Amino acid sequence: MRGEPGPGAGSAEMVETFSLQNIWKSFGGVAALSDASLQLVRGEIHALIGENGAGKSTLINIATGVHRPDRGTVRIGGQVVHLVSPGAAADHGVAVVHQERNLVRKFSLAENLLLGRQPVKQGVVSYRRMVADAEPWLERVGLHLDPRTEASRLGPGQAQLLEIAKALMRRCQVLLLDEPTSSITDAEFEHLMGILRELRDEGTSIVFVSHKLEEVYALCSRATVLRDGRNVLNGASLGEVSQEDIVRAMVGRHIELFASGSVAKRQTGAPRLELRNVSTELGHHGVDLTVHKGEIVGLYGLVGAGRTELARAIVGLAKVTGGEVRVDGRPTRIRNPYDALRHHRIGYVSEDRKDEGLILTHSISRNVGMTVWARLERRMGWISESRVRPHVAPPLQRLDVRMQRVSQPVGSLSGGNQQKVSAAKWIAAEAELLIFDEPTVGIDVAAKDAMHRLIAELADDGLAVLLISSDLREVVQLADRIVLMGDFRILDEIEGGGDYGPVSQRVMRAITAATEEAEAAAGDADGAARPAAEAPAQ
Amino acid sequence: MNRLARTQWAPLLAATVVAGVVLSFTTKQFGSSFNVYTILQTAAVYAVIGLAQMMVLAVADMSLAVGGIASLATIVTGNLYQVQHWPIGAAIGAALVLGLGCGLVNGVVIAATGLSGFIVTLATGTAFTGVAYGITSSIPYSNIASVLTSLGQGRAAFFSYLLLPAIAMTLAVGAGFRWLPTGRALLAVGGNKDAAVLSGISQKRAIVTAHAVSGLLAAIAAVLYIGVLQSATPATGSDWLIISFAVPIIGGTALVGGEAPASGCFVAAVVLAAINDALIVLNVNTEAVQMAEGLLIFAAVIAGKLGQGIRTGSGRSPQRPGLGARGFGKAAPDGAAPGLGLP
Repeated sequence: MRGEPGPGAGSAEMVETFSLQNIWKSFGGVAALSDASLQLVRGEIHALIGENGAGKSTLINIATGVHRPDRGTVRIGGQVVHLVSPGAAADHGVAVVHQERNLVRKFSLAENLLLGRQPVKQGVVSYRRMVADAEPWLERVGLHLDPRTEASRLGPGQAQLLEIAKALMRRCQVLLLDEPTSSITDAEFEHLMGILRELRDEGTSIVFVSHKLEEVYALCSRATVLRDGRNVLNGASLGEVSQEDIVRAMVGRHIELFASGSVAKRQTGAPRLELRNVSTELGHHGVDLTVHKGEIVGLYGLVGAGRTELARAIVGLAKVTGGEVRVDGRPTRIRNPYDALRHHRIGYVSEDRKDEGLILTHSISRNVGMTVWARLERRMGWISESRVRPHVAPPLQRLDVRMQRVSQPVGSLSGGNQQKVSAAKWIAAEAELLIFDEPTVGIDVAAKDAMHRLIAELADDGLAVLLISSDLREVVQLADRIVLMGDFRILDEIEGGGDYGPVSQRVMRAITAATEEAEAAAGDADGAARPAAEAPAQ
Repeated sequence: MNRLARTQWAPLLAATVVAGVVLSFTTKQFGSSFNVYTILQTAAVYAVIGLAQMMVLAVADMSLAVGGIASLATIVTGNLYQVQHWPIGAAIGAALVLGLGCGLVNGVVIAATGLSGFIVTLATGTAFTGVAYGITSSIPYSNIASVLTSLGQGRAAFFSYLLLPAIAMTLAVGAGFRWLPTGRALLAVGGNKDAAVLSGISQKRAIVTAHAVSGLLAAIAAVLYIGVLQSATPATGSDWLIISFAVPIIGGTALVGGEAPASGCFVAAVVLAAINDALIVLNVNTEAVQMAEGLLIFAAVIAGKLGQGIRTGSGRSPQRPGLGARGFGKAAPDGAAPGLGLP
């Protein structure tokens, strides 16, 4: 695998700054990496791609000194180095920005930047110098905030920038970004891209891990693809490989990406859920939304538009303060998720599958069976595994969950399979309206495709689906109708199923128009902008 | 002032002061200078006990050994002074070193094994108490050095001399968390372990430090309490568990770590001691006192929790940010933005 395209030794521009060569690593006898390599040259943005479980995280952990390789060498500037700890990696100029935000929320931005190395004067921490030291770095990444602001006030995109600032401050030469875009808005991504390009031009080598190939193509020049802990592509120039090639390299087989063109227009039935002029305690007002049987309604908007919050209000996790909610044409009030499922057959597949959707330490059958317990219990007063299993097996089979046994803990499955289990739970519960909230965030291409097929199939079978997604392509592909949301209002409604280009343009136009309007209004209202708050509920 | 009003214990203190004023009018006894002194005497010990637990809570751990360490420190002080005839200064010094050592043992065991502090200190705390009872064969030492007695019993009007070491400890711990790199490291580990570790802060060192200082503070509380009780008994510490948690929690320490408001701890100690005293003054049946105390702690925590809700409601930006407020524009923090670090 080594020395294929690789960095050209002769060219002055292709100076190899950092390389992981022929790395082997196994955990408890299970090989995570077998002969994997990654070579970076000075001033490039290099994509690291692979399905979940392909070994990307392990490779990053080795690059940043969290794990040590069983075999193989790490070189920085041609010299062999042993990165024995994250600290050692940092000393060598290797920094990582993780998917999960590594901030101390109660500390100021300045102190987060200087964590563990606060300036000290006569033995005590000098807050004045801390602020002064931090300021230029915040500016550098475009965070125009007071360094004394508490980090808990940052939105996800801003938190990411803070971490990049932290890495820059430590004079990193190699910056690894682990799925930096999974929870930020398009505008924030644009900003991030700008910063990363500047850094690249200044000579920093950047590794960009992402599932979104559009982003990879927009930003990166070369790509390394891992599959089963091995290199499938090693630093291939993205000018020479197509997206299809990359997908094929990742999954090891040719998969036809699900496209809406393959589905005939669905016959939709009676309205399953109607919201009329609904307002909520979370700040929605005048929301009109109808989801018919056998229909997929895409709810699209920027992060913070109030989509997740609306879903939470529908299933009774937040109060509806005005307007009317109708289920199957009858006005009703949904008090809590139990009520939603038991009496209205509405299920909510949460965005946050780890915290809200699944109990990772429990078995698959227990997780899926959770929603049927109440029903089974009424019939016989007690629940046994053998009674639950018949209800659990079909949805798991249908979703093609890759597992060894149903008694296996959910935590041992890959992200995509976990998401499938999360969905299977609601199918077992015989829900008739499913709300999918960001169903494909952080899962790999194959699992994403399976999820898309599943959602389409469910709608074909007559289920009503409300699909909340920040992935516009996904919404355009899947939805029969696209409802645009912004600032806790419904902005517009667009026919789905069309070509991606024109539909996406219309969507973006509608959202930009509404954003400008809101900005103008906000400017009139209080002059200065308010500090950003996290957008997703809780 | 604004910041004072936003602290978690402010409403509690206000309620206590109001209740105190009312009580001092309805019963002669409560407002008397002697009674206030008694309250402050108890509060001083409570405050140090609370600080001992707060140290560990700051790194998102907990210690059930505060009482056990106190029991052992009490007995060691009494034994060295009365039986071995050590000078009192040396006896106290030995007890404090022992407290530090016990805390160190807890910290090292937790850091080395990765077991939870709950399990480890449950075991060691019981063991420490057992050793204390073993040393004395359950008999208290009654020969108490005059230094300790005059500190524990001394007063200027209502001002108990015990307040001096208690306030000194509170200021020291508060300053340590605010100004020392080690203190910041402890809070960073408690606030976000991963962030701290990736920034090169040692989680193990933070845990060991927190437990060691906690042990030292427990021993200090024990020594102070000898003067209050005028006896060195192994029973000291047996009823400290609830107090050690109630004081920091009412004072606004988060159980999830990353916060260590020492001043809150002190105020909560005064509040708890006053409540305790009021129950006695009001002639509440002794059997009922403990129950009432438990309920009051519960009520105080709930009041604190509600207060927190109000604070976050008013102190932060509205829950619904406008579209324009989210971007990268000049989002200046509003006037109510908290200062650096600790309140």
